[in-house]
Amino acid sequence: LAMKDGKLILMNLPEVFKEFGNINRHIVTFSSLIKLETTSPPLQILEQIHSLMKDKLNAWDVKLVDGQCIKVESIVIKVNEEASEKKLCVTWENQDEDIGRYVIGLLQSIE
Amino acid sequence: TYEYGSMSSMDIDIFLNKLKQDGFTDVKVTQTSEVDGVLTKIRLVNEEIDIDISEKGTHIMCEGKESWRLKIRDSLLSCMNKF
Repeated sequence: LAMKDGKLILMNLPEVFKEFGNINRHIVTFSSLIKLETTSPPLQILEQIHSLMKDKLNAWDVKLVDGQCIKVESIVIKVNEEASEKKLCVTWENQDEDIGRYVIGLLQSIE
Repeated sequence: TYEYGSMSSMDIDIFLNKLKQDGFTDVKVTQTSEVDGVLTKIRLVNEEIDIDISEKGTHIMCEGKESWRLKIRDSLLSCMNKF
């Protein structure tokens, strides 16, 4: 809800920041790393997680993008590989904290 | 919530004090001038957590306990403009 010309109107977030140009959004982002104990290749790991998340988050649009990452809302999941160690890197913006926290819990439970 | 505005040096000082109150005792802070303003990098040494604060946003990178991240999140949001 925003006040414009003395009236209360309903606006989505990009419209609010465009309309009130003196307000700059400050985006708070989180990244969490989760260690993986697996020898599976990254694509196979992502496909397994994609399948699990589609099942658990069936009301959300969970996408596997170009075999590189999984996206749902602002949440991005990638596989980082250094030497022989694999880690899941999960990034999300603060407005998606609830779903981000759920995804972290879900991924920690399968590690 | 949606955060807006930028973190002033005073806001960052308040945030650093809150981190110490939360038990993050070994805190290293560096500031550099970037094209789009000052970048403040905060390193919580013992917990291996990095926090980058710029004009446009704040990024918290955490490998480890979720409880640490949540403490940092609460302290950060209490220092910010939001609606």
